[in-house]
Amino acid sequence: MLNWVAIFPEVSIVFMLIVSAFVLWLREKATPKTFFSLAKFGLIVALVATIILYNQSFLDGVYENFAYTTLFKILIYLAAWVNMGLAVKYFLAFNVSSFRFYTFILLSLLLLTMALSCANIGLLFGCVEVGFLLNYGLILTDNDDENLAQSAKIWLAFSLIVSVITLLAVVGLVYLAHSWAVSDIAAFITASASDWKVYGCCAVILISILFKLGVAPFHFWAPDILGLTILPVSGYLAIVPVLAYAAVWLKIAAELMPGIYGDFSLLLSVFALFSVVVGSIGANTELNMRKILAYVRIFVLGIVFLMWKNFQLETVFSGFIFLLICMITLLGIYAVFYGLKEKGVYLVNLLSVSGVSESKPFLGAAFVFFLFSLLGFPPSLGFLGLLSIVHDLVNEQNFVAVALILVGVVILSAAFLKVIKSVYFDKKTTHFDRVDKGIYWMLFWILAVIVILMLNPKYLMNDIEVLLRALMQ
Amino acid sequence: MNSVPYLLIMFLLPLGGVLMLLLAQDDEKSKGRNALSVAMLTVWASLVFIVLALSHVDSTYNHLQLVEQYVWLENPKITLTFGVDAFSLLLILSVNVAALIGMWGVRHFSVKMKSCMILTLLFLSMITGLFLAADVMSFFIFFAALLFPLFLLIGLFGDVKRQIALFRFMFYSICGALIFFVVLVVLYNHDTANVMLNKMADFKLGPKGEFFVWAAIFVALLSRIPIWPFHSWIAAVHSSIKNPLVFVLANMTPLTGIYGLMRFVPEGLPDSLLFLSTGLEVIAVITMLFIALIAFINMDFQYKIFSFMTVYYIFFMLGVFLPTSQYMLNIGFSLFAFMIIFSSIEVLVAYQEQIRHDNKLLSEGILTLLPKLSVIFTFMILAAVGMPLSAMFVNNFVLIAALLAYSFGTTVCAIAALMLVASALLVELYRRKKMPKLDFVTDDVEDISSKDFVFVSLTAVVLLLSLVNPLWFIRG
Repeated sequence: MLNWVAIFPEVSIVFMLIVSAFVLWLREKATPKTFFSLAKFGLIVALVATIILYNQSFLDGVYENFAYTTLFKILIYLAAWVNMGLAVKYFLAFNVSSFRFYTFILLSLLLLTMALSCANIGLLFGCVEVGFLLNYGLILTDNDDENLAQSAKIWLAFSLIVSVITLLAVVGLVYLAHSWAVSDIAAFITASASDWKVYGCCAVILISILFKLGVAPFHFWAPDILGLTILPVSGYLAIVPVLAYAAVWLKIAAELMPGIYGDFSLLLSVFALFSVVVGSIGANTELNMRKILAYVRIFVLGIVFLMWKNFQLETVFSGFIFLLICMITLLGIYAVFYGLKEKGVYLVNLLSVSGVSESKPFLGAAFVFFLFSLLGFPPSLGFLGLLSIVHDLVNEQNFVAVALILVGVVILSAAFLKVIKSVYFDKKTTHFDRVDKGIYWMLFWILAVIVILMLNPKYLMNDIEVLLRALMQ
Repeated sequence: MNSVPYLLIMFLLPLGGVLMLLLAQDDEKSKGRNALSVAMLTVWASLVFIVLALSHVDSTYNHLQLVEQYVWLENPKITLTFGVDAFSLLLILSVNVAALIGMWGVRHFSVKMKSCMILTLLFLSMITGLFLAADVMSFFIFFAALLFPLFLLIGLFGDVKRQIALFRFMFYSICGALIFFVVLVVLYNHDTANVMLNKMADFKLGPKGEFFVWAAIFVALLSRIPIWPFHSWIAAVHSSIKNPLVFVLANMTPLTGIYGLMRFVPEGLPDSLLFLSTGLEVIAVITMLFIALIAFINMDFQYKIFSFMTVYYIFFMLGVFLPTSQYMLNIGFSLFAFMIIFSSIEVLVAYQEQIRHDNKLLSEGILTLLPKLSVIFTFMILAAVGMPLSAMFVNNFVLIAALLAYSFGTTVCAIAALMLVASALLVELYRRKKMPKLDFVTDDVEDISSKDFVFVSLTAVVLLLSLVNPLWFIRG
């Protein structure tokens, strides 16, 4: 029996998309804030409804909600909300329409959160693939950079190829299992674990998600895209899809391939270690701050997949906590980026932010604090993440991975020290624009969340574990 | 748990000061005086609590007292424990007094005073936390956390010209902290509990494990002490800091390494690892002699002060490796006087440099123009070289006697290094007190004000009291 109430969050987003389209059509002049207000309203309704309807499913076996899907959706919505709040500053500064940006974000959120609830493999991967391809529209928002256009074309070409291959693998699994239901296919995969065709299809699906996340060696698109797109798009793509695809990954591991996931352990270890190396070294080669962060993202994902190579509660949990902490920190850094402007132009180059602490001490201090947090230095929140990761690896007696992670952190610290040197110790070369008060408020709230989680990590370490436990059962 | 959580208050007070500073006005009119006043008031308040805590500590009882425990995390179970004895409270007291003297030294500075004071209080909070830490986790947290304000202090206010040295200093400090982090996790996993510092020596990990853990602890802690091979970049940064407050704070970091060694190896290393301490002893003595020799040759007074400090720090470190903890309080008394002396000297030198710069004078004979300063500066230098003016006098003798009984060669080398560095200071004092060959007569050189003279004289009184009865404020 259909439970229509359960899809109220999705309906609210669709409704807001339709309203946005009408507003664009009817209003002569749509201010930058108009579409933000609409998108925000839709998102808040979806968020609240998701929390209230946490245990209600639309149709069993097709579209189901559990405690952990609710957790992932809440995190995705919250990250998107902060990003959207920051992005409006950009559109207000340039006084341009934000319709395209907010529409694509709402569409992307709709599909990615739907994917988490799908118990039908066709629907699941339909949402995942379309949701990813929609990013092309986002990437080209308000940007006529030729380099970006070139990178976007390459990205689109590869994404299309990956999507087609992934959908073929999905169809292959459906053909072999004679069912579209994720649970039936999972049972089939477990029963025919030695079949190379099943392995092939599963490997393609996993690699497809790794590509979407930007894990090395499928990372080639991430630094260029994140470094060259406009700030709101870069901020969104750096954080929200990562949380969403990580959640999809866990769903696939738990619901689709529980029987053979462990067989990919070696492959995942190689990709993970490669990401740690590429991320830490790559960050040292860049001067574009967003590209540095793109490499940091690769590094972080490398560590996360080092934990997720086996599907056990402890390692899944510590990997997830680490990812979450890094994403909160990245959110903070992007908030800082919104404050770094000269004559209306957002600064991306390391040299252009020299001496920012002189005129913007709060931005400078927050920036450095976030960087220390990414390095896992106490008393920052990142320490908790690194502690739980290294703790589990030592528990596993995986000292090689520990050594590699710590060497990676050391190499990454060299890149961060360059940033800190530029922000604090170099002479000011830029006349920074006045910072919008909203940016300071956003930074204040992000820092407040970090401080609360640091002082009482129970919310992060214990409460989330309880919700994740449902995923493992 | 005590009815009044003295230790938590001691740790939180500077952080409270940071909050007050964030609210304090620091416009051009006030020239940073508001910020300085708030910061100094905070340190005074901390001193009151430290003395209160000291009055509750039994100095004859050689175990941690006033223990406070705070559950940080339930799963994995992490409980942070604070605890003190007379030694750690003495260190906290000396660090705060030294910082106060350093603040006095920058009272005429006006550039970015608010930021400077915020970072100073953050640093004080972290270093206080380190001395309060009774378990490995807390110790690590503060050991690593104090790098953040320290790095910014040196970079922003240290006026260090060689940024590459600063970069390397920070980079290697981070490496040291990460090595410690691995030790922390290994220990936690072995016992599935946060290990108490005083239980470290009893920890059994097997020969390989023990070697790895202790070697890593040594490297991490020694990375804070200017001992070979860490001396080069630490010396490059610490000796070139021009701001007296930052100089004082930066030169407190070796203390964290020495304190760590003292807490981790209170009764010496496990027998199987004694070769580590022997190797360290050799390196320590060579470094001491080498740095003392450079101090003697080098004309830069800032470097001489740095060398004086380094030689003494290594001397105290040798005391830490004595196979008994009965000299702990002697080291504590000596360190207490030492911190006050070096911070006073640094501040007085900075004042002389300012006068020299403003009046285009040579440093030679400058003290003849500044009679009040000369008196107090001479007192401090004489106290520094070991004259009977402070707790350093008696307690250094006790330490030397203990070292002699333990290793004759090492002690002779250490005495030689101490004498060399003392000579370097005395030669510099003589040079500054010698009648200058002035081309013109200067009447308008301003000596320290009477208020400042009283302030520094008070520190001299504290030093004299420490000679007579170092623990006049402690029962037992």
